[in-house]
Amino acid sequence: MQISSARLGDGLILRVEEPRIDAVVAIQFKESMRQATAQPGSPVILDMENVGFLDSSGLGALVAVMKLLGEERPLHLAALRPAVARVLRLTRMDSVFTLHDTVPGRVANPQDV
Amino acid sequence: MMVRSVPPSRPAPPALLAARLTASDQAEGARCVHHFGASPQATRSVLSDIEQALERCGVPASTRETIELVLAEVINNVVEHAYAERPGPVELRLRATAGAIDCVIIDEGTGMPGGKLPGGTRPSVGGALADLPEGGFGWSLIRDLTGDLSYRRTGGKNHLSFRIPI
Repeated sequence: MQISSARLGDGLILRVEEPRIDAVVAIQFKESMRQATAQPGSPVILDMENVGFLDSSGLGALVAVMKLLGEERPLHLAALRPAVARVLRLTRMDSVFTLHDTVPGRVANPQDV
Repeated sequence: MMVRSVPPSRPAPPALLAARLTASDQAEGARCVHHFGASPQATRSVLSDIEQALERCGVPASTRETIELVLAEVINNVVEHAYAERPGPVELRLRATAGAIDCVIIDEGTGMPGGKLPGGTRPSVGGALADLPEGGFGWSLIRDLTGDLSYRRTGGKNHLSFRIPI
């Protein structure tokens, strides 16, 4: 699964380049994230702008990644599309991940970083 | 696995697939039936077909998103549990009326444990990081988003039906 990366200060911004995180790709997503987070950076901010669909398999994969990173490297989610935001809200997982409306560094606003 | 749409048993006038439903269509409902082999990839294909058909029928985007999520969860359950990742046939029937989409999913796999629907309790997410659940969200999502959810097993087949309001 394609995930592109960029550093922003201490943080690592990972952009999911695929439109769905679902039962088809949940395992590959975990593996791709494991590889992408081998490089340093904290927090890890996952740019979800391309992701139009997340099911419970995809949500489980996000949780697995968050556990893999551990308490020392928080996993944030940014630019959630409505369908994806709703899954997080219904499952109450929106209180577990730190959420950003936009990807830090993407807008010319110093307070967003 | 082959994915094909089986057309309704009687010819559907173009109006059934148009944005506006006539009075008789509203009563009878635009119908479609899909037959496919259970697999995650086939699920994507069927969901895509249904999304396009519902868009043509004028169903709003947020409702289409709800239907896509519910069907994904239900079909994933069939793939993973009813068929335990083995191949098997799935029949999906949709009926769109002015107020709701009625769905029935039929498979020939193992029945629900205890012969009834899982309770669908939402997994608790308030604990330590290491204790966060990675699964078990599906049925609570399905229950959150559907009405008239019911299950029966008959003739060696599982029938799951529900309604999603438009």
